[in-house]
Amino acid sequence: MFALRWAIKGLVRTPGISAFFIANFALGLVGFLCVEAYKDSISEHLTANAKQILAADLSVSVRREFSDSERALVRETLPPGSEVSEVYDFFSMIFFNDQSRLILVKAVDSSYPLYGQLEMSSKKVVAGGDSKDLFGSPKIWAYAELQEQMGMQIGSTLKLGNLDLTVSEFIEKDASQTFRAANLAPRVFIDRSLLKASGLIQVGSTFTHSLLVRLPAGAPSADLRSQLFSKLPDPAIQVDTSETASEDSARQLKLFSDYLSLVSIVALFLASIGASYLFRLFLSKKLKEMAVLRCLGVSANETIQIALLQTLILGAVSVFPALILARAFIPVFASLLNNITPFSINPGISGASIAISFALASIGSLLICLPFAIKVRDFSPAFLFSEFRLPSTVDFTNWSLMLPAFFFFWGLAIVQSRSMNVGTVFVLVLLGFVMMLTVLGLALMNLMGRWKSSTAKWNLRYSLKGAARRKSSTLSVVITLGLASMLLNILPQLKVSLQKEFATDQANLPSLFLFDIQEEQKDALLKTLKPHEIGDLTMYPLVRSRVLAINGQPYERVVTRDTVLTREEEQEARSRNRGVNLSYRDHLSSSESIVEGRDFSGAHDLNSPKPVEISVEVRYAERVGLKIGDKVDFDIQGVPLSGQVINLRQVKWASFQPNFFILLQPGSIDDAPKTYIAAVPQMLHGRKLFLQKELVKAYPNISIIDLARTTEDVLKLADRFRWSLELMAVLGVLSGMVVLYSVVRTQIWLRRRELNLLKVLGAKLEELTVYVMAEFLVLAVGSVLLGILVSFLISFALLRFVFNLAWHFDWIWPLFSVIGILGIGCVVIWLGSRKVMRERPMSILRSEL
Amino acid sequence: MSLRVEHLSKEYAQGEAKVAVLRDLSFSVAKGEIVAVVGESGSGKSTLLSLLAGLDSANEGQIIVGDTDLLQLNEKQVTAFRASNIGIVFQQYHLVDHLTSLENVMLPLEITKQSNIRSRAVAVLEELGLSHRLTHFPTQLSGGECQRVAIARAIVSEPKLLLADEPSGNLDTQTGEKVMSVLFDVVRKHQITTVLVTHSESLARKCQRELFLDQGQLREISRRER
Repeated sequence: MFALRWAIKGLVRTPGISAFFIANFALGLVGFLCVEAYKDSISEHLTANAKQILAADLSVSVRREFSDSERALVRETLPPGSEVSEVYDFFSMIFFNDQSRLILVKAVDSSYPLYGQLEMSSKKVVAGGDSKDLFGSPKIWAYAELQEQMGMQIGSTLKLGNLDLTVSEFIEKDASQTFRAANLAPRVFIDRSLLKASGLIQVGSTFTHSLLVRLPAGAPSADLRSQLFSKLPDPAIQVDTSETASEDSARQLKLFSDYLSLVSIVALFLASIGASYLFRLFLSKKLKEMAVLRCLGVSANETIQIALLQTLILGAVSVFPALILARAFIPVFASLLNNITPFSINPGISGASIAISFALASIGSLLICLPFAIKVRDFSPAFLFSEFRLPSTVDFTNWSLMLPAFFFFWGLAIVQSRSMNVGTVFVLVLLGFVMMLTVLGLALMNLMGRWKSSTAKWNLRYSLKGAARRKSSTLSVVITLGLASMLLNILPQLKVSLQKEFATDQANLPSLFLFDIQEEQKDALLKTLKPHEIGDLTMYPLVRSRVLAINGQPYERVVTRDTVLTREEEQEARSRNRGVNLSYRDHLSSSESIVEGRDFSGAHDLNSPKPVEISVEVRYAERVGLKIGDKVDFDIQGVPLSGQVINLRQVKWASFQPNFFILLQPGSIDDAPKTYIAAVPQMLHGRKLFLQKELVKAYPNISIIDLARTTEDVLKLADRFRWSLELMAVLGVLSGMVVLYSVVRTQIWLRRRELNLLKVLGAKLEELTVYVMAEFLVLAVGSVLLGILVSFLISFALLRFVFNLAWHFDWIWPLFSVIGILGIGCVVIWLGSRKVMRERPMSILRSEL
Repeated sequence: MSLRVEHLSKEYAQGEAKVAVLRDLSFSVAKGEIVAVVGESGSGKSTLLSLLAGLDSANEGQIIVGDTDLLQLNEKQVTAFRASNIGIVFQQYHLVDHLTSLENVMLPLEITKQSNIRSRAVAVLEELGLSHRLTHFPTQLSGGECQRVAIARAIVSEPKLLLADEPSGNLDTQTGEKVMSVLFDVVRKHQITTVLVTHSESLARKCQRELFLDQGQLREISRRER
């Protein structure tokens, strides 16, 4: 009880440091709270609208047509009173007003949607039981963006495959949509009975056939899901309840918010560095007090208790200003992210988030300050006697005391990213940055300490020497400001490099990407393309298959009932539940290279006992756990085939050339049922549109992706993500500024005697201003430049070794960040030093410090 | 409560080498007696005080306060013993800056969870002539007042042994004399055994006995030597 009272009293009576500690930690928590609010609002939407998102209680789907026996099996398993709606989803092209566009077709029956509704531009709301004008006549409902993009109106007639369809409604809001993928392929709805006449679905076409089910009240959908999984023999059949489907459909959003969380952890980490520096100062000021307490009968453990209680209290109190700040930030954050989701987000801070923040702030603050708090034990109160000298600061040399804080951040990163790998890599990379900045910071200090100039004024020389000799405060500034400026710069560097790479590679980028080309359309298609002078067009076969076993171990479907899965578990479950597209070629394309193993040994002889040679993309191999020499058994549309991995390939996916995860030796699957994909080389915009129109007219079943438009849309979407990540980085910079202010204020306070002595010795106020400003400005400039340098190194490494792209230098954003951070830095330094600079020297020199 | 020191030795490690600060010291102080320890800077006076206060451990010997050998107690026991039996006055006062005079004096009673904390603290401060300074913070007090608050804090829990380290070292002669006169009055009144470390010969002469510490060894200075 005494410890608690003393801890509170100590904090209240040291308002300056306490306030800075709280402000610093609060800034670190703001980002975390904003991201949590965003995550919560998405989860709430998904939970509340799970059935509307799936438009059913249960969905049974497969990437082919269900057989009659499978349909019957599903119906037999369902309880009496269940209602079934059949839906086909596939990409296709529509043609209107001399323009064509990739769209996602949903061919539905009259009972669709079994849950949820479609809100039309005409203010009409259509639910499952309502009568719909879509059926009985060739009509189409289209997403409202097509109205603007293609100039359609209600009553316009457009072409979809062999059908001429009249637009009867524009859809404003579709309850089943969870992620607005930059309008890559707007949806249209048609009557399912028109499918045959449309000619869009042919052998090998890419489509999904779903049986949507509304169960009678009280029927257990999870149990039925398990029953259906065990009864339906084909592992490629996917069964989802509304809960599993909503989780899956919001995967991209969750992935994004997970990464956002990681950036918010960086802000928290920066705040923690600042907090530990401030706490060190706080304890240094309290050393005498602690020693007095020890003399008066307080045990060493109790003094540690007091120190730890103070960190807990400071951490917990920092949640309150963080909540206030988060409330101000959330609307900005929500407005940046609202375009990403089709539903509006109104993030609010939940009770659970507040509780987590309290735990995070208290425990985080306790662990980060632990090394200093424990060090208090080593200070003997005998220092109070006249012949001894009280130490001026608390420092620790036992770095193992930092391990709890390290494990705390590690655990937090894993929880926030929901991935052991991502969380671990993130923490290691962060640690790497800190070490890199520490090494560079020490080198900078060394330079500053050695700098000798006979012409430079005394104040500048001594100023730099001072910074070089105060290692811990200098390193705190270098690490926090350096990391913050690195964060600010790394994303723009990546973006600029990607943009420049796309621009310079434009000539090599395909113009159009064609898929679902039928075998019998190959020759005709080449003839159609010939007048357009696009040279030789390679068509790449695509054979659907699934993996049966790896090294004799069955590669079975994973039925997960857990709601909490790590990203790796999700990825693993998805790759097992999905089929795999195979291709074969006798040579590597220009966008791929072998990183391990050997090339194919020519064509495969079907009579040879040798296994078929397999080439696997290197990252896919990592994900699935394949290595050279592994045996893989495939089921290729009913025909078994065994192969052996002979090489791992690196693919430059950004080349947008047709590439595959798994390539088989030529001659092995040449006769299997297949479709083709092709990439039409770069061509002028007008000619591209003309060709696209021609292709849509002649081959309505072939889907076409306009790559220029798609990359533009993806970059736009990425920009929205980038801004929200930048917002988190700005919080990091603010934390860095609080640290800089704290360091300036502390150093100035500790050096009051020195500064006032200089005044007595004749230093002018301007000289003293330079003396103080130069030290901290050099530090700020040095830290920002080091951060930029590290951002260059990291972006270079990411582009070169992860994306396999060239790095391009961009100076505009670094320049802005240097000017911005220095501008704020000057104000911060002036604010932190002005009081001491104006003090009357003798009053300080006479007083007992 | 008497104090008896037997064969006390203390060494510090300085790199590989060991430096003997106190060598086989033995002396005793009777109950209520005031003894001065004098010696040059670095002679080991502060080390001796920190050992007598139980704030440091010795290499050899005994420090018996009443019936208790301090060096046989563990850290928890020595902390409790110090809180109830030993008061310390420092040269630099070492008051807690953010506490008022009254709060500073109440502090030892709060730590040892005693009763009538406020009234006892007020009584001691009144006894030391500080009744008008109860709510003042250390920064608002003169050096002499600070030291009187420090004395009040040291004696408020009625210790049996008082250790004073250069109590007038930070004060001018006149103020120092006044403060010491107050200190002597109080310790005599309460019969507190006192060990006082000082450089001041005049102050040492006011004590009942003087011990001279030189190069880690102690000898008694007889009044005739003066």
